[in-house]
Amino acid sequence: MRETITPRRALQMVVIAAIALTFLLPLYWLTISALRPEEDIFRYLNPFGPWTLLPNRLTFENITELWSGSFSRAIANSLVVALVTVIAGLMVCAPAAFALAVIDFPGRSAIFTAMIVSFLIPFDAIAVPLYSIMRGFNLQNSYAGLILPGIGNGLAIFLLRQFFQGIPKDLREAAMVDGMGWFQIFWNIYLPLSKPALISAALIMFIFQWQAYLWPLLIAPSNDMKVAAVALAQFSSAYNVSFGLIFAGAMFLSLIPMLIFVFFQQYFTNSVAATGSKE
Amino acid sequence: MRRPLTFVLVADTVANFLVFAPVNILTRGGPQGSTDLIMNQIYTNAFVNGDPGSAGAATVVLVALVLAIVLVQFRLMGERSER
Amino acid sequence: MLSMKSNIMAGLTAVFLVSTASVVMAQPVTINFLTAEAEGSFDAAIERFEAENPDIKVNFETVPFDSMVPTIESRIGSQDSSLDLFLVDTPRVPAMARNGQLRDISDRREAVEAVASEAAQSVLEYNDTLYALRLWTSTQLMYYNKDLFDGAGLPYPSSEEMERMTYDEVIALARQVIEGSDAKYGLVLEQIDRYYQLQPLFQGNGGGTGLTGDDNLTPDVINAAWIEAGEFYASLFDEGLAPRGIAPDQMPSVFTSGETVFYVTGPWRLQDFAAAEDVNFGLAPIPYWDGGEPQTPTDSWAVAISPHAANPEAALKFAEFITLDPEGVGLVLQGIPNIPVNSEAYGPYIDWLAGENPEVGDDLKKIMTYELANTPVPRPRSIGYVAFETVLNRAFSDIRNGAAVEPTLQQAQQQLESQLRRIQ
Repeated sequence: MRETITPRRALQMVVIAAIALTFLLPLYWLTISALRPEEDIFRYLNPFGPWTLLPNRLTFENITELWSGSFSRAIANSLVVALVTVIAGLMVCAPAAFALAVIDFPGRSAIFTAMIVSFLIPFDAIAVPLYSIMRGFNLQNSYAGLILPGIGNGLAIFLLRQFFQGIPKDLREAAMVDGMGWFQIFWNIYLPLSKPALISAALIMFIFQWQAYLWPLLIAPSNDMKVAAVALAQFSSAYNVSFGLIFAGAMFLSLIPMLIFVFFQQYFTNSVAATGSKE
Repeated sequence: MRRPLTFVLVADTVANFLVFAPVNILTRGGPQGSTDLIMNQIYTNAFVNGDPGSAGAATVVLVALVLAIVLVQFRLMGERSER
Repeated sequence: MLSMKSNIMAGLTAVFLVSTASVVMAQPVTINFLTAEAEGSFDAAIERFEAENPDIKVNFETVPFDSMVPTIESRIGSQDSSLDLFLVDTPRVPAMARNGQLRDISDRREAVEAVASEAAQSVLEYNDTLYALRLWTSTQLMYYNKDLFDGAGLPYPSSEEMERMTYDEVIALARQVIEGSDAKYGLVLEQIDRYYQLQPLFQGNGGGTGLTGDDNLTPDVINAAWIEAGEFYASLFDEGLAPRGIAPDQMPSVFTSGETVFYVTGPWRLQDFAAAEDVNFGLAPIPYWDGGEPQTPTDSWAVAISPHAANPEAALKFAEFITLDPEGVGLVLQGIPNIPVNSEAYGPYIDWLAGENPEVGDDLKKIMTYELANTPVPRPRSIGYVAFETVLNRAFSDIRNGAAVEPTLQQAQQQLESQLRRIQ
């Protein structure tokens, strides 16, 4: 069945495309600023003219300088921290969410409420006491110190619980009749049906660590353990701000999660169909 | 779609109450306090002005407020396990 | 999870090794030194210090400039013993001292007074107790764009103290230059919404620092002189003599791109400006108010020791090396060429700086030496300084964006009254 494009429909599409492009504008500006010589970055901002958006000189200087420094180490640290958090976090959050969604145990709603509160409290508010605790375990300047606070993620548990609740009861009742235990039900029935939700939860945890700033700043101040967000801010020191490096660094910092997101996007489009739930 | 919607609603509410980085980076709450958010005040008091006491008090108020809103959202979305 | 396990193992091994080693020899201590300076900037001083003190290792930690204060507040707030010494902006000393965030080092007063004037040191005291050692000081210069003066066919401004221009003269001259050349901006103050840079503009008009009373805890930012200075400041933006919407960090580009007649900032920009292709610059003393006294901003970072430091003696030793020992002072200057407070180090420093900038060297030496000796005005000493600065910087930024001067300062006055009352 072919859709006919009416003038009205065409106009709609143009407007929608224009709106979409405005969202891309900051990203575009970020990219061209990274590719400009440092002194040109702010030069054409005021008054707004064609050179504000069209670079007249291009250079890879910022990017080569960025990667020749300690930034590559920081990116590697961030990747390690974010990926380990995702794996360990799913191992903790998925069973927790399963228990909250499916198993009827005493105190369930109290625990669920406590978990909701856990992501209502701003992380900055608990950073200082948490730092004292972590220091007590001697976890300064270690991957463990960076990773541990990201593992028990209330938001990810909440997301998975909502999803697990949507899986029809009949499935697990049938499994129980067949003699499956809770773990088997979780592993063999719930997890395979929950790929989109697991990926969403993984992305939540990945982004949490990828953009974490205050915590890594406190727990991992040594040069070897710096994460990318801190290394990026480091390009502004007391007497000198290297905007060329900041823009180049920010470009890569946005690019990496974007690529991951684009790769997993296919699972999201499938997700509505895959639940098999009518609710 | 009710359950995913509950998640989106709650997560979005919380995220926007706790938002602070754009304010801190772009406007610092100005001009004339028009873009100031409670999180920005909390952060400024705790980490810039060296007044953790008032920051802690403001945090408690903030969490209580958001919790109240989130509980209402759960009610409205007819969350079963809350009963 | 693997990494955590291996860390615990490594930790246990380290504990075992350390406890056996300590029996044999004195174990070297490591002190952690926190700054917002570029990686490597203290390397020369640290290397020499470690060579002279083989039992002390200095671990240089650096955080982004904007995160320096939050980091120190958090780490000292949690009684972190792994933070030994750190850099602190001098006006924060009274508040930090009162909050118990700095170690009392009064017993080192004699050593300090031998190399720095009492007046210079007094900013680091609170209740007659010494809390920090001054590392550097600062001043401001007015850079002007020679090409723009050439283009307009006007003579360069003088670097002589006797011919220091008033604000009105600077504006009048800047307008002439703009008319005769393709200049865009007339007078740009780099730290455009920060009290450090604006203090001489407001205080120099005879309106006081903005804080009065015995403890400097009573705000006074709505007197006639402050409002007049505020109107002048607002007019810079209203009339397009200075840009709106550009943050201090990004400001140097308006001078290096060759579009600004006068630009006020510290000597720390000399190198960048000399390297910029599109600008040739000269130096003049910063302006003053007709009928007022010339004033320049001053002060910089000092070194303080944490009250929870694991190794306070070793930390103090290093702090003295980089602030009191001419050798250490010189080595620090190699990494960060700020103005030393150490009187022995100043002479060689200014000659070296003038030599590095041969085109403006003589003017640089003349202006800096005069300003540092005669015109510096320190920021007010008050336990409420931090709140004062935060509120005022916001007010400056509102005025810059076009808010009416008097109501904005009124509002700042009210906010300050309530915040400072909380501190008293």
